Amino acid sequence: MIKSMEHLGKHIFFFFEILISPYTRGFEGREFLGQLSKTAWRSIPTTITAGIFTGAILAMQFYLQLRDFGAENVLGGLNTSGTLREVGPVLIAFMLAGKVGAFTSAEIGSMKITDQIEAIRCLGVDPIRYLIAPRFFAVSLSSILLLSVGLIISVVGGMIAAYLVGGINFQQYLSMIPRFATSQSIFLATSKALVFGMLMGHICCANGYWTEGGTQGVGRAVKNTSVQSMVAIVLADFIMSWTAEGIFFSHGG
Amino acid sequence: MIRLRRAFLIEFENVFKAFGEKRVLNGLTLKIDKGERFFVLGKSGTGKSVLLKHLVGILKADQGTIRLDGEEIQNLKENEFNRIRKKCSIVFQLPALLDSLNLFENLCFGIKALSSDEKIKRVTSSLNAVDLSHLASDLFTKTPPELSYGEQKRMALARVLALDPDYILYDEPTTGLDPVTSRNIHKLILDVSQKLGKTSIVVSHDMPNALKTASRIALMDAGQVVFEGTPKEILECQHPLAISFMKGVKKHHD
Repeated sequence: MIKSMEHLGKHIFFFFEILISPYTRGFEGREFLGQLSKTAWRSIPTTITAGIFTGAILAMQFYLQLRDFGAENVLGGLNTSGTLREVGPVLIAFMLAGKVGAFTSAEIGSMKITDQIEAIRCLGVDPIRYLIAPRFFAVSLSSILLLSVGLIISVVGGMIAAYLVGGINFQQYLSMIPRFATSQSIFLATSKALVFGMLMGHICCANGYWTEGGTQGVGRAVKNTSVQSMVAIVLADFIMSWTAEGIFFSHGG
Repeated sequence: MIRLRRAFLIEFENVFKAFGEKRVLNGLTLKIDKGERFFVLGKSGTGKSVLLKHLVGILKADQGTIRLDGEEIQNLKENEFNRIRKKCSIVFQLPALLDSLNLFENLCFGIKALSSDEKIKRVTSSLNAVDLSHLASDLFTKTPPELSYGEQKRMALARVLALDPDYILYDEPTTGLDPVTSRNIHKLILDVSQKLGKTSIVVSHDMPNALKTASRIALMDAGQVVFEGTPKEILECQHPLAISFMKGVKKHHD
């Protein structure tokens, strides 16, 4: 128990150390842009694939339920709202944790075990400033961008599935979206994207930076990144949904 | 009468360091003078690399005093250590070059603040010093993984030379290299020391090459120096550790 609390404290301290590092240690803009391009641009095809199928799967499930009640006409609104608020951010964040998070963690971990991080220090450059902060901010920002792209694409995926499975035309599907997917839903989706992105950015950088014990250590760092990211995302999703339910949706919003 | 104490440039005085229960440096006392090629030999796990890491602030001593140019450095803060790292630089056991950067960016990593002209001057002279001038035309197009392991080791030394430090620390520079490349690396250490006037501290297991290259050798065991002397003195030393390191070497050396 004490060890877990110590570990949590270490994570919180490291998170704030990175977060304030642009003010306290300066910022490597060039390195940040390079990492942003590496993590965001190269993940777009995977995000589009995940987004289309997330929307399509949910549309099929909702259609089968709604058909029994003769309420297929509300499919567009219900599916979009559900995807934006709950399933979309979580599924796409899981996919990004596996791709961007694991990659970043493995990259930093490999640098750690091959003395590259110590070499950076010994050449008079701060590794938090040069290596960690640009990756944290790049992973966080790219997660927000990719989650937004993924959610928009999931609407398209849902629309196509609704047409193929239930014969619901695009106009009918789109016309119901504003009634269900309110500005609160969009705000909640964006907030989740921001929080999930920062959680992933922190977890992958911390595990990579704390890697010890050779190649097995890198394996452990990647495993820890995947497990911790997913647990953190689910927990954060629950807390945010619960909070939002109380604030926005308890009166039928 | 005032007795002047001889000022050594690097001094370890009764230094202790432990990792958890394991004591790695156990009252280490050592003095190294300007221009020396000081080799530290010993079995694995006796604290040789730990000794070097204290000089560049990667590790902090639990107890004892470490002086560099007369200044006590064991309690310096991380940002204060950057001043020390400019004059005391380390070549790691692995090349530790940054794979994502090209060769030129790697060589300039520690000298970003200098002007472009000065950077090019430093890079050219450090490449010449490590005998890698044939890579000059590939500096902007090649990355470290495209070089052989021996070239990567030389490139790591060139990166340190570009900083123009007074002291160069080598952490097992020939580990994983074939005998020919090992000899070349030791020749390089000798050249850098003699031609550029750098003080070198080399942690190694390689007694034959140490006897040819070193000006002084220290033998370490259980976190302490158990013998210290010139290569000639070590050949005559009767300490059991020296004898075990010397097996098969004396005949070859004679």
